[in-house]
Amino acid sequence: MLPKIAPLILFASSCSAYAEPGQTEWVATPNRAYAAMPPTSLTDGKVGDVSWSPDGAHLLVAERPITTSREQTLRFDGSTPTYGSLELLGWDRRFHQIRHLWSTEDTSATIDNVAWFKGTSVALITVRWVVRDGPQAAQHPLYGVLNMDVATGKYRWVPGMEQLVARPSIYSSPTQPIAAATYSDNPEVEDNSSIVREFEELAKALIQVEVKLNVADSGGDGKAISVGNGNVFMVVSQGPLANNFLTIDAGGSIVHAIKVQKPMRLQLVWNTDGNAWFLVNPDPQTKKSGLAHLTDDGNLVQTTEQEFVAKKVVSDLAVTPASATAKRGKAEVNYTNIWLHSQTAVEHGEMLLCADGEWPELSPTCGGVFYIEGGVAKVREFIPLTADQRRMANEAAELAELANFAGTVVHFTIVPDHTEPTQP
Amino acid sequence: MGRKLNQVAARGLTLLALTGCLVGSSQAVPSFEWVQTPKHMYMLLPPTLITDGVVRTVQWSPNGAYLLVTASASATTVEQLLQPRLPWTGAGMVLVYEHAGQHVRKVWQANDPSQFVANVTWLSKSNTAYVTVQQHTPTNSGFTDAYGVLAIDAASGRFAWVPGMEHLPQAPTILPSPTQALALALFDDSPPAPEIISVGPTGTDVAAVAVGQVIPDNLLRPMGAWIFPGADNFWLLGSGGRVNHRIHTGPAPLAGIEWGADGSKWYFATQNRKTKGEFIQQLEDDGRLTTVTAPLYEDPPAPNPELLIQTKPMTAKQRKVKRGFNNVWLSSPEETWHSDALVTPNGLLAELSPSERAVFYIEGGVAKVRAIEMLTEEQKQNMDKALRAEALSDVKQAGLALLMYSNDMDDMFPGAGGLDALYPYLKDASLLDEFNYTPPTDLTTTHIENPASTQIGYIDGPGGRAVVYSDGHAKWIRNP
Repeated sequence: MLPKIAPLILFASSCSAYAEPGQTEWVATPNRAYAAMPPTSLTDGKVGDVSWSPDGAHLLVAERPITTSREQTLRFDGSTPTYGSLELLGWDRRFHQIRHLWSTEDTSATIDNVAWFKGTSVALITVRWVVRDGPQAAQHPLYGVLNMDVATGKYRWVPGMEQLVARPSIYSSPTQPIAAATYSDNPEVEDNSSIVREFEELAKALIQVEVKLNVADSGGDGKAISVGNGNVFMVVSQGPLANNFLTIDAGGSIVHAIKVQKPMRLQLVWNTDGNAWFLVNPDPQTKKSGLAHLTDDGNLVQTTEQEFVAKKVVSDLAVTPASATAKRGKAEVNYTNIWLHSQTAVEHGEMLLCADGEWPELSPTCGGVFYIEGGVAKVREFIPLTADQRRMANEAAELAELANFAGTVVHFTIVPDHTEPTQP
Repeated sequence: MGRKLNQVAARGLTLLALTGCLVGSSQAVPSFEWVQTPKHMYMLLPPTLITDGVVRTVQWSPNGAYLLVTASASATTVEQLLQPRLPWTGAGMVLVYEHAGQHVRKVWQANDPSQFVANVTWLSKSNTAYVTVQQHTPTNSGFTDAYGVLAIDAASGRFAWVPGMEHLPQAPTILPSPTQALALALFDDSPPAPEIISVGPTGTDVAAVAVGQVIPDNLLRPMGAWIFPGADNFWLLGSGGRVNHRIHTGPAPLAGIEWGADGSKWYFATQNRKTKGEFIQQLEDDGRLTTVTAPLYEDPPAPNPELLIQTKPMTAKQRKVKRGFNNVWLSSPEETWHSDALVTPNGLLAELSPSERAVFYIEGGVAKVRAIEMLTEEQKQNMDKALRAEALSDVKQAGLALLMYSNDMDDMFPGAGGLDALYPYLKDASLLDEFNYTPPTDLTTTHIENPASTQIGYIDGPGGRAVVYSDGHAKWIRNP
């Protein structure tokens, strides 16, 4: 017998209408309130590097699809999962668009570094891959630098930087859409100074912990790196060894190139205007640290220019993880709640971004956040609310709570036992 | 225990990720979770992404081979976000998840934002689903509605409008046969009746009010599925949008619809409340009703489920703010040594497929499906082997930590509640979550007479437990 249910209930029961609770999520700070837009899913592949453009308008994500088959998963033989080709995705905040920017079939390819040109949607992306010159030859890395406009998807390899034997270092100007790049022609000295390796034997498995230190990002000072087991490595950054010094514009063209005979290991910095780069070089007479200009013929000339020092900007919002545990019977699983909150405690200053998140990356302008929830990489846009919208958001939240309550009541009344016509 | 194997499984991945230079920004591998029932072992596979749109309806095909999801685009502006979420906000789309291939495809997309999916009906023993699309158009005096019925073939992803049901003034009702690839579509082709659904402030249907029905003989009541008064078209639909039979008649009797015992024919049916006598009528092609004696379809007893979905409300707190969410568990109805697996810490609207081989849920605004694989005997043995090895390794590490602790503490083991003291001696302290510490009565290690046979702790595993002794050796002991 088919269930005895009222007409409308039949209509509803064959296909329950689902919608998430209609609650507008928003968070307040002392300066403004932000609405959190619904998430956009970027990929369910394995995410590698993630980089926001400095203006927060674009997000660049490197990912590989997980290609492990169901059979492979269920073999329980310890075989390693497999991944598809490396792919670069770009998310555009203004148009809410995900663009497939670039991919490679080379399984050894990885993204080594991303450096954005100031005030543009263009980034210089260093790709690293591993090659073997002959059947018996040892493997060695190669590097290439892509000039990628994330807004349009147009890209090209920076001329002369398609296949470098040593890792290039890229330094974006803090104020202008230009960048400097340095690299060495000698593969034997490839970034030895910038990799700390620790080998550990754990349960008969060799776990290689490789901490890559991006010297270009370290600002020329010593940097303490924790490798997660209590050990801390102090790395004094001298700058990478280089004999090629290039200036690149946002179109990916080399506007100036200097090649010196003898490689040098000096830190590159931009001047206070951000329109010229210099090398940190102790003054031969005073022995004090100063800036030197590298001439076209490879000489260092001390200058009175000062290094650009970025102003410390305190972000309006922050993300904080909080660990939680799900328990049922003997099963126990840990996960992490990610909270979005105002840096200063205010009313409505906290919002649960996701209950089970990892790798949150707030955009530099607080215009959005990247995170991974349950294996899916997502991005959520934050939009500042006007006073009226803030009031409406409050009202909508209150109405949603009421509707949820009402929904519970309606749900109770449509249970078939409650709908049968009463006896005459 | 589930987490432990995840770590083992993930270890290879960790290596790959690290050597592949995805250091510092690669997410944890989606965890594998499993449930042991009295009969079988089931493993939850990593999720498949369905959509990040606003999900409207979800329906598994009767055999669980396909999932049909209807959704509309999420809000992209604050104005949209703050508007009440009406069912017709945003153009509707139909997505089909295929369980065998674990992939999703969009099979239909409305080209008009006023169109949305109002109803979905799957046929039995078929890949066909009938989807009622509603067009809700604003007019000067309110709204007008029109309905069309799409036949969707989930296997090929093709769709077609059912001939003659492309534009109906009122919502059709589609009743699937319980056993055959057939459905009865009944509708009224006259101008619309008064609105029967009112929409609440946030777009949820808060008032589902049936149009008043008058039963002339109050001793008779409709049986089975009740029909809308006024339906005058009775069409028998087959697979792929084929109309097998059409009957156009006057207003239908106030009866219910029942399918015959073999599910191939439908009847009007009423029952006398006092005598329980059934009154079965067949609608003839010329609109006449003939009384027949026909056995009606009876639901077979529902089989006992082997898996269940359970939700547990949780609360996250930060400063003064509390937010609720639901842990979603896949569980065995009968308790076993591992009867629960976490589907997601934060799930909404979880729906187990009828075949119990997949679960749909919405996690943080994104709809997903996780396939559930029943392990073969060989797979189960391999997994048991891996679990036992893991339990032995963990219990041995816990035992060594206890011995190191006792060395530092003048040959004293920690007390029963003192396992926290072992953290400095362990690489991965989370293994203590599984470890059952059974301290000797006398905590002084030198007082233990026979260390090689004095048990100090164990970890449960499949069919037994990994036990560690006070001399630090560990062994697997089968359950009696």
